[in-house]
Amino acid sequence: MIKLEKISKYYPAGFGKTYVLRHIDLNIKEGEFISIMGPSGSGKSTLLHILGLLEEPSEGEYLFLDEPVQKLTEKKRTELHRHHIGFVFQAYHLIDELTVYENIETPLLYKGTPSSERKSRVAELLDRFNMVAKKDLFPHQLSGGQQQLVGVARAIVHNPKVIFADEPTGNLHSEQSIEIMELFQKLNQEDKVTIVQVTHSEINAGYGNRVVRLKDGWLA
Amino acid sequence: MFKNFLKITVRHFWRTRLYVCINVSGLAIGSACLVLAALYISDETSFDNFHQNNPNLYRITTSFTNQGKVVNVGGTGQVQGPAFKEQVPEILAYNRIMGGDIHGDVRSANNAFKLRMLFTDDNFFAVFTFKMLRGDARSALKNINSVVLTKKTALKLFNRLNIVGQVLQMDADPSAIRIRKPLVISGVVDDPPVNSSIQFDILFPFRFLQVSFEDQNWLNAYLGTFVVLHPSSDLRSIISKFDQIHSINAKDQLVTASKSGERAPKIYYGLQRITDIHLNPQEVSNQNREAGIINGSKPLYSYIFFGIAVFVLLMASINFINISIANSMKRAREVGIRKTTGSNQAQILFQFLGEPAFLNIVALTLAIILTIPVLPVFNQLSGKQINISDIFSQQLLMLLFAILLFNTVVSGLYPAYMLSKLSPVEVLYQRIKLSGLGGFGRGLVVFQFVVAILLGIATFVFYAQMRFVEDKDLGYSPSQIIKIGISGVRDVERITENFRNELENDPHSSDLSLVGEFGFRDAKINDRKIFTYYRTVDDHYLNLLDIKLKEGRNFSSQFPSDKKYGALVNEAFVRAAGLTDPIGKQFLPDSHFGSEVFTIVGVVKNFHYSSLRDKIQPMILLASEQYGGDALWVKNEKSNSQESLAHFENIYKKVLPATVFDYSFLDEQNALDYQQELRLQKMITIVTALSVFICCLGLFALAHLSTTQRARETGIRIVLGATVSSILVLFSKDFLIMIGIAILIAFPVGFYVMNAWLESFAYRIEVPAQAFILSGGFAILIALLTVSSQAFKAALVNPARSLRSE
Ligand SMILES: Nc1ncnc2c1ncn2[C@@H]1O[C@H](COP(=O)(O)OP(=O)(O)O)[C@@H](O)[C@H]1O
Ligand SMILES: [Mg+2]
Repeated sequence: MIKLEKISKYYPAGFGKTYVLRHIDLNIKEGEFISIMGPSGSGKSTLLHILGLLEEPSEGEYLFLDEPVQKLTEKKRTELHRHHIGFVFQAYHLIDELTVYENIETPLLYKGTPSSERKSRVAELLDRFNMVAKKDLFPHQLSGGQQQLVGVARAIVHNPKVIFADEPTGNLHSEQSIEIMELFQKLNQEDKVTIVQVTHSEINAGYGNRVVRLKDGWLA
Repeated sequence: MFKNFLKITVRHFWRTRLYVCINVSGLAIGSACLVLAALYISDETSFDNFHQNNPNLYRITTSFTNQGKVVNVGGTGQVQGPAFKEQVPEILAYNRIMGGDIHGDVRSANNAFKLRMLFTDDNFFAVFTFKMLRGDARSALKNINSVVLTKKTALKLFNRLNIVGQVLQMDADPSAIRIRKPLVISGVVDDPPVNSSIQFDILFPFRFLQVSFEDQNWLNAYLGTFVVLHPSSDLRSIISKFDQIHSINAKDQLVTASKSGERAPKIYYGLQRITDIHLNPQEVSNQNREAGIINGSKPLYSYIFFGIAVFVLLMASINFINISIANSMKRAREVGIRKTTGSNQAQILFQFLGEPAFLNIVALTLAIILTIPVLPVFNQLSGKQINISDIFSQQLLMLLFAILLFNTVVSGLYPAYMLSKLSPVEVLYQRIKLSGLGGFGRGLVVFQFVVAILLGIATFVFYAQMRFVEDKDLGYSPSQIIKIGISGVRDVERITENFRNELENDPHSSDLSLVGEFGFRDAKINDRKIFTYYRTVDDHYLNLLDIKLKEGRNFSSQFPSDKKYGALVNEAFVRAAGLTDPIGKQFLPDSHFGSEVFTIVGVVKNFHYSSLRDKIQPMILLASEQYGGDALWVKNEKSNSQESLAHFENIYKKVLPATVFDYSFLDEQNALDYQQELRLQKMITIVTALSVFICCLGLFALAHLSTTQRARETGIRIVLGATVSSILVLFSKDFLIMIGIAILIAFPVGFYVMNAWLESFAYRIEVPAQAFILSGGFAILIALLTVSSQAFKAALVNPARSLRSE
């Protein structure tokens, strides 16, 4: 489903350039649960953003669903986000002015899902994540773990093929982390969602079925 | 999706309600200004649009070229209309009107009023569209002594409308005296609309005027000739026919003129749509507004109003933009999230344009509500009679909609575009700094201050010049002089005598003089032609006005020849005539005063008989006992001028029964010369206040934003030992630099512009330095107060609090 060939990323620095990623070759098959690990600053987030079509590689070729990403129009890219990709962030990144319900609903609005279908889908997720009672609360009224649950619900509400998660438990304590990781595992095993997560924790990596290690931008 | 946007917009507004209030109030003030400007302009452009003969209704204009000087006049003489109609088949009808500034005393059995007279050919109602309420429009002006009253006049004189057949008297009108018949009312017409250039109280047949004033001259232009053209006519060919007819008919008159040594002007005709007249009146002259058209205006005023309104709105829009920019960190994160959840740039643009659109709708609604109480004040300022219901005309509503759209785009596009093109990675990982203003925002603040300081300078210079004008020694003393008008053909010498006798030993008045204005005309001295002002006076005049005699003597009854051939001139005349020893010199006056020479008996010191805009021109004073006058100038000695007026009116009524007491104060009349400036001055003062207010609001918001956004930083600094004053400097420095730059730009521009404006006065002040010191100082002071009050608050907050939240 995802195929990287000799992907590099650099930023201009002074007269030269600093490489963040170098010659990355990576294949991810549908249904995999992959963990990207490595020290801080090694390029994990950058790699995840390239995979998630938020950033463009400086060199190399990237095939997403067998399509060369470099040639995609802005419109096509947005389409892919709307239908196939979900994101989870370390800082949750919920919209402050929207309630739990409305935050989860947002991707469906962009996708153009009809209203009745939207309602039932959001209700289903609220139910599944045990958040029905909280649906009218605003993000700042929730604990970190609850916020991240909403973040995950938002990432999967539109039935994406793949979820990219950047240190999803980085701000959470261990109990909450376990909850999120078990959720990921279930999504991966029962709903067949491909998951790519960045993590510092070997325990978290244990929930997945493959680990990719980065060091100074090189695949280790 | 739309609902989602709406929800978030409303919640965002609620959370940032302080800034929303600032934005809405600024935008409302700006929009209100624009609504007023729109009302003004739509009124200005609506003049004379109600005539059914539009667009085929034209006025004939005349262009005189004399020694390279071109003068365009919106009038003709009496002969052009009939001659052109006869020979140009495209002309379906012609109508001549004379009036506008001609007033006469009209008397019914028990009432007398001074009425605005209009003389017109009998097809008046076929050419122009004024609604006849009583009587037959086609025959109303057929008889030489028939007149038509307006509704208002009818009600004033008779208190009712069915007055056809009633008679009126005019005791002093030259035509009425000659035909020896009373005037018979043949109809009542609806009052001319406010937006009509043709205004009158009473209509007379043109033939009535011709009884006392018939004129075959082809070289004159003093009345309005209107023509209705065939719809498919070619204007250019008509005009060339006019010029041909003129050259044939005027030939003899041109020959006679050149024999008498005059250089005859070249004359070309033109056609002007009646709907174009209001904004391009081409008045015959300042003194003579008798060509039927009044209330002439200039497009300049429309531009000024519109420009001012746009500026105020721009100030408010800048506030919106700057608050948006400074506040964008919060919104940027939302954009990042929306993009990663599938939004495209257009949707984000739409959302963030929606917010200013919403604000603008609210502001515009407020603006319309705000306009209601402001409109009377505005009407007074602009001299208009605009109705609040005029807002709801279709045209204006469309314009308001356009304003809304424009304003939304102006205020919303930049922040919306900036937000929409943010990259989600950069904002979600806080890789860009979004707080603060950036170059663009700073530029806008500087611009705001430049405008505010410029307006401040303009206000100050305006006030200073107007003060100068008020205080300037005019060379005579206009205060307490009341001018009592005497119109028509009357024995003014006897009237003056009676008046003088009545006021003998009267404590209300010390002196009076009979004065007549004859305007600028030629005079010939030593073969030199001088264009000079003619005024008639008597021997009391110099004393009455405190005018100084430079050499020679005043008029005197000891020299009987003074009456007929004596003249006083001013210094400007002496200089223009090149005389070294003026007393006893002789000159030939304008033909109006006969064809015999006059002798200069005295020279008066120059005094400002016209506005300070003009240099003092040559002037001749002749004897009013001989040549007539149009007003008694009476010096009031009582501090209560109302009481004196009543007293003078009594005397006037005794001397001149059945006429209308018509008076004016000389100093008030002088002030009319500067009416435009005074209006502009009031306008600019108000706009300055509004702009400064809006600027302050913006500044306050920015200061408030920056202190809240940097609360944590402030907390850390205080913990590290910063003093309150250093925090004040931290926050104020930036604004002070911006104001400094604004001052550097505003001062030279202000100097240049105000100097140019002062050039329009022949007697003017130098651009005062205080204007700059005060405006600049005021700007700095206000900015410092606004900013430091916020900074002070930030500095006094307990750091533990600001550090804990986050
Ligand atoms: N816009 C940028 N310009 C320059 N350097 C960048 C930019 N974005 C990221 N980097 C650098 O790229 C490196 C990798 O960053 P990142 O992928 O976030 O690492 P990780 O997520 O593994 O901690 C870091 O050293 C970071 O400073
Ligand atoms: Mg990272």
